[in-house]
Order: sequence, then C-alpha cells, then structure tokens
Amino acid sequence: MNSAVFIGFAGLGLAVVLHIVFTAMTLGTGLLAALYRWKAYKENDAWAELFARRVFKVLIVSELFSGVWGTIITVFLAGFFTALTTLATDALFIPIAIAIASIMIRIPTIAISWYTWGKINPRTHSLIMWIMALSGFGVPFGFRAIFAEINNPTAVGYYLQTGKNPGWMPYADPLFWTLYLHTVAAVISVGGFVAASLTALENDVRGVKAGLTLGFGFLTAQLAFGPLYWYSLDLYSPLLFKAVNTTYGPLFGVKLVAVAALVVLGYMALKSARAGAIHPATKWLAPLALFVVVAGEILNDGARYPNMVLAGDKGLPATLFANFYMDIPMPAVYVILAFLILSVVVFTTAAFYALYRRFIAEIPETE
Amino acid sequence: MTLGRVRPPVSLAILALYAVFAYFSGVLITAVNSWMQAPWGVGPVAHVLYPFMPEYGPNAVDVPKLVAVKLAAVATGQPISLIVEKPGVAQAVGIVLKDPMVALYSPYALVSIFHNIIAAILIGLAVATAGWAFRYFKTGDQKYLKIVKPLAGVFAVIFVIQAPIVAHFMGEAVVEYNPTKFALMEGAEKTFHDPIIALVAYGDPNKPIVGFDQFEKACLSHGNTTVGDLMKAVGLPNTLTLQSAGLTVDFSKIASVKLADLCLQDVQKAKAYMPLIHTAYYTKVAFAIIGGLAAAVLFFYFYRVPGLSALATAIARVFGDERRRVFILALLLVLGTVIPAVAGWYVREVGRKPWTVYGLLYPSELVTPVPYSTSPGFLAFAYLVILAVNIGGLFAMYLVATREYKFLELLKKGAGVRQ
Repeated sequence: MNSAVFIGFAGLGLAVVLHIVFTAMTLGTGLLAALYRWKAYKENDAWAELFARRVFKVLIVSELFSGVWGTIITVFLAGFFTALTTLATDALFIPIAIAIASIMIRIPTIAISWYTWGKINPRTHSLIMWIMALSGFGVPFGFRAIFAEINNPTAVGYYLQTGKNPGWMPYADPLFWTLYLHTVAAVISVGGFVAASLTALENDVRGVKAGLTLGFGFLTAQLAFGPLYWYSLDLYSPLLFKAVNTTYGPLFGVKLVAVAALVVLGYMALKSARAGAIHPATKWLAPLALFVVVAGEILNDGARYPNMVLAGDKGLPATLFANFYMDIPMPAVYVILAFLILSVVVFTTAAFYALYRRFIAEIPETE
Repeated sequence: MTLGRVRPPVSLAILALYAVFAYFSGVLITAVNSWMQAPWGVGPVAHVLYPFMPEYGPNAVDVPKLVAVKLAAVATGQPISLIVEKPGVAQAVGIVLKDPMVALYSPYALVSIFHNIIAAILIGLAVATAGWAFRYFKTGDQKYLKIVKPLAGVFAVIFVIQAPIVAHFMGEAVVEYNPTKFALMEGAEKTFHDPIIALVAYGDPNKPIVGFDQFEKACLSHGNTTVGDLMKAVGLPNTLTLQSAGLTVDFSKIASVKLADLCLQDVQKAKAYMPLIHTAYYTKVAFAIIGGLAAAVLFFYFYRVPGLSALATAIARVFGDERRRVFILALLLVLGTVIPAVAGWYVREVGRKPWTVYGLLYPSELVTPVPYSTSPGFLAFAYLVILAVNIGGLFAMYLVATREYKFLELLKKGAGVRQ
C-alpha cells in the first residue's frame, strides 16, 4: 500500500469514527426529544417540554458536526477511493437513495421542529418531531448497507459478475440486518446516556431518569444484538471475524470491559435516579458510551486493513479501489490531515461551548 | 450560538473564521465547476475534436489515455463509470492527470470565483436590505432606516465592482473559452456585426460576433479525417485490453467515423439550445440593469450628491411615501440580484451543452448507469421528497415570520422562572 492510499485509508477511518460518534448522539437524542415532546403534548407536562428542548439542543449541535464529518467522508472517498465510490453508487443505488432521502427529510424537519416550536398546534408539532426522529433511522438503513456489503459483498458481487443492477438485494444480506439492529440499539442507547450525563450537570433528576431509562434499556438490548452481530461476522465475514478476535483482540477486549462497566454503572445510576438521586457516575456514562461506539467502529472498519472489501476468505486490498489517475500531492494530503486535526479541536471546543455552556437558548428569544 | 455570549473580539474572530472558510469553499467549488466549463490542463484535446475551440491551458494530461477513455465511452455507448468502477482499473490505467493543481491556475476559474462570490455577497446584502426595509415599511421606525442606509451604500459600491468590471471579464472568458455558449447567448445562428456587443465582448467594435455557420465551417476543416486516424496519431490500438481489470474495448466499429460528422452533430445539438439560452441571458441582463438602477437611486437618495440626489429623489417619489419607496427599491435590489443569478447559472450550465465537460464529455457518458434511476416511480418518489421538503420549509418560514410564541408561560413554569 503506497503512502497516499494508506493516508487515504487512515483519514477515511478518522472521518468515519468521528461521524459515527456525532451520528449516534444526534439519532438517539432525536428519538428522546420526540418522545418527550409528545409526552408534553399528551400530558400537558411543562417539564417534559423543557426537557425535550434541552435534549433537542444536543441534537442540533451533533447533527451539524455529523453532517460536516459526513461531507469529509465523501471527500475522502471521492478523492482517494474513486473506484469504490463509483461502484457503491452504481451497485448500491437504492440504499444510497434511501439514506439521501432520509437526510433530505431529517435536516429540514430539525429546522422546522426548532423554529415552529410553540408557534403551531402541539399535536402537529409532535408529529413533525416524530418524522424528524424516525427519518434519522433511514440514514443508517441506507448507509449501513454499504458497510455490510464491503464485509460481505453479495449484491456488489452479483453486480460485478452479471452486470445487472442488484436493486433491493443489499437488504437480502443477513449481515446488514444484524449490523443495522446493532447500530439502532447503539445510537438510542448513546442518546439516552448523553442526555442523562448532560442533565446530571443541571441536577435534573427526572431528566437523568428519562435518559437512563432509554440508554440502559437499549444497552440491555445490545447484550443480544452485539453477540448476534459478532456471530454473523463469523458466518458471513470470516476474515473480519478473525481480525477482530486476533489482531484487534486487545481492543475488542477493552470494548467488552467498557460495555460491562457501562452496564454496571448504568444500572447503579438508574437505580439512584429512580430513588430520586443522581449517582456520581452518571456524568461519565456519556463519555463511556461514546468510547464504546469509537472502539466498535474501529473494530468494524479498521480491522479490515489493508483490505477495503472482504469477500469470504478473500480480501480485496484498498489499492484496488484507490485513485491512481493522478499522483496525489503529498503536501496537499498533509495539509488536509492538519486541517482535519484542527477541525477536531475546533469542533470539540464548539461542542463544549454549545452543550456544556448552554449557548442555545432554552426559552425562545423574543424581541 | 455564541453571539452575545462571548466577548465581541471572540465573536468577530469566529465570524471571520466562518467567512474565510465559507469563501474558500466557494473558491474550490467554483474552480471545479469552472473546469467543467473550460477544462484547463487538457491542452489541445478539445481543439483537435472541435477546431473552433481554443486550447485549454498547458497539456497536463496523458493524451492517449484521455482519448482512450473518451473513445471507450463512445465505442461502448456506456457511461464512463462502468469502466472506472472496476476494481484495479485505476492501477492498470495509471496517471492520467500529471498536475493535480492545474484546475486552480485557470483564468476562467479565477474570474468565475470573483464573479460568483461577489454575486453571492450582493444577494445576501439585497435580502438583508429588503428585510430591514420591510420592517421600516411596516413600523416606520427610524432605527430600521439607519440599518438600511449603510447596507444600500455597500451594495451600490460592490455592484459597481461587479457589473461593469468583474462581469465584463467573465464575459470575455466566455467569449474566449466557450464559443458556442457565447453564440447561443447572442442568438448568433449566423455570424454578424454589432459594434456595441463586439466592443463589450472583444474590446474591438469591428470584430464579428462568431456564429454557428463559422463553427460548422470549422468542423468541415477536418476533411475526411476519421476517429481511426486520430487513434493512430495518438498511438492507440484497435482493441484496448486491461487484463488485470478484465476489461476489453473494441474501437474498430468507430474507427471509420469521420471527425467532421461528430463535430457537426455536436454543433447542431448545441444550436438547439439557442432560444432558451438567448432568452435567459437577456432576462439576466434586463434584471441586472433593474438592480443597478435601483441601487443607484437608493444610494443617491441616501447619500447627497448635487444633481444626482435630486434626480434619485424624483424617481423614488414615483413609488409613494418614504416607507413605501425604500421598501420597493430594496425589493428591486432582490429581484435585480436573485433573477440575474438564477438566469446566469442557467446560462452557465445549460449553455455548455451538449457537453458536461466542455468539448470533452457528454452527459450520457457521465450519467448513472442504474436503469431504474430514470423510471417514473423513482422520479415520482424523488420529486415528492423534494417537493414536500420545500413546501414544508417555506410554510414553516412563513409561520416563524408571522406567529408569536404561545407557550412561553408553560416553558417558564417548567424552567422554574418566576412570573
């Protein structure tokens, strides 16, 4: 693997991991916000309305950052892995169309939800919030099909062998369904833990309980979906399964320990919240949950290295999909990498100010 | 998020950083678009196929490989993506572009960057001016007029830079690098003389406006040269095989095609766009003039210049009382920037047809090969999503602008704020 391809692979990995971190936050908090907005409407509960708005702030910031990193992924793919991008858009047209349509619904409904909050009928507003929250899950429904295909290329394999478009075939890939379930449970769980940690900073016991109920509830679901995905890798992507258990075994071990810690601390925190107190560990649950997401994504994507696509026992190296049509200027690549690192710093600072310092107004500003 | 919550210098620094990167993004995107208008770095390739086209900068490409890719698309009748997507093809083909930065050196890109960014600034200023003018119109509060005045002043100054200077250079770039587009804009089916247009376009009133008759004549200069002759000249075999990628392309069936016929066919295709492009271009010019006049009237109405201000005030009075006249003039600024921008982009994009990359690649060679992407069902779904999002967004904007918050009391109660 030449240096440009390696840097492309590493840069793509970095962008994917950061994108997934923010995506997990935005999708999970979106569901929580919609749920409590709806409760506020049904039960005329002022606290629920305020809690939904607080959670919505997290959604806004993380959605923005996940979108930026999503764009960076596209740039890396198009610039460094031209063949992969072209192949995916041609062979996996339907999943990509589903993801893009979901994004097109999701982003405007976020804006509409925020700006019309309190200005339109609460029932209509709740409905928009549900559209916003549920459309978010259409994004991984599309994009996770690509991840499943690069680990077990059934539809792409059919396309390359026959020249015929596989249509809906990516959804016949069992690996997609186990990965999708694993992802959905993960993002909802992360959203719950993030909401719990942030509301713990404000000593809002009810908010902590609401976040933990969702976070811990879906974490227990992960106890089934995680092993299921791991087992399906053994069946459909043996090379990745082997890499996760051997070369990447230490990281996999650390991830399992982190999940165990999350289960124990999450249970203790939920028990305290139900008793009307905030457990000191609550504020650490969000970083821990996000660490699990990072470790999981590195295992899922980085463990393929030096391959980009795994087909059964055969690995197709990243060089097969790389851009060799031009000599990618390394100084430009280093500038891009430096910019990415700067972006991480800027985004983290902005996220700190936006979430911790609460720079988004909780109560609408009027003139 | 941080506005009003951090110190002003920090806020300014954040805004400046945002602006710098937003403009930088605009610079790069415009450079990419400009490459599709004038493919800088392909040197004589387009000129060889279409003798009326100029050379596009230095030759920074591997000509045989570029010609092979183009002819492979012509020979197979399939989009290039079907070749590019095959694992290993890129490695087998190797370097096609020798200088990855060449698109940034394009004079077409340079002038387009200034033209587009200034246009974007003008639109932003026009919309902001109209917004505050509307507030002034509704309330009559002088504080809104105090905001409108400097905005209108800045708008007028930037407009003077855009319309007579930058737009002129943009026009010159189109004349030089997009000959068919310029002929479409001017409705030049046949070559004609017009000293005013010639002066603006070439800086020489005696030069003719080159029309499609000249392009056809240039195509015929190919004589009996065929695609096969071109292949020989660049050293391409009759059959191209990339064994490692399992790809074979047979060029023999297109070898006897005359270059003159290919060229004439494309010139005819371009000519079919004339009514659309000519109308769009002059609509753009007309609204730009309206915008310029409105900017001048508003400027001299606010900033006193002997003679001119009296004239501006007399014109402004036509629109009624002061609140009304400021709002209408501001509204004309919006029309005078938004419509030229939309029509201008239409001319820029549609005017380069029948090519997507001017003189090199057709849309059919770059379009997705997915069969159902153009099916009625998929198109209906796509348009439905776009329509729903746009209607929903517009309706939401209307609600935001017209309705007051109704639930503040409930929220304040939830937040523990005392009444």
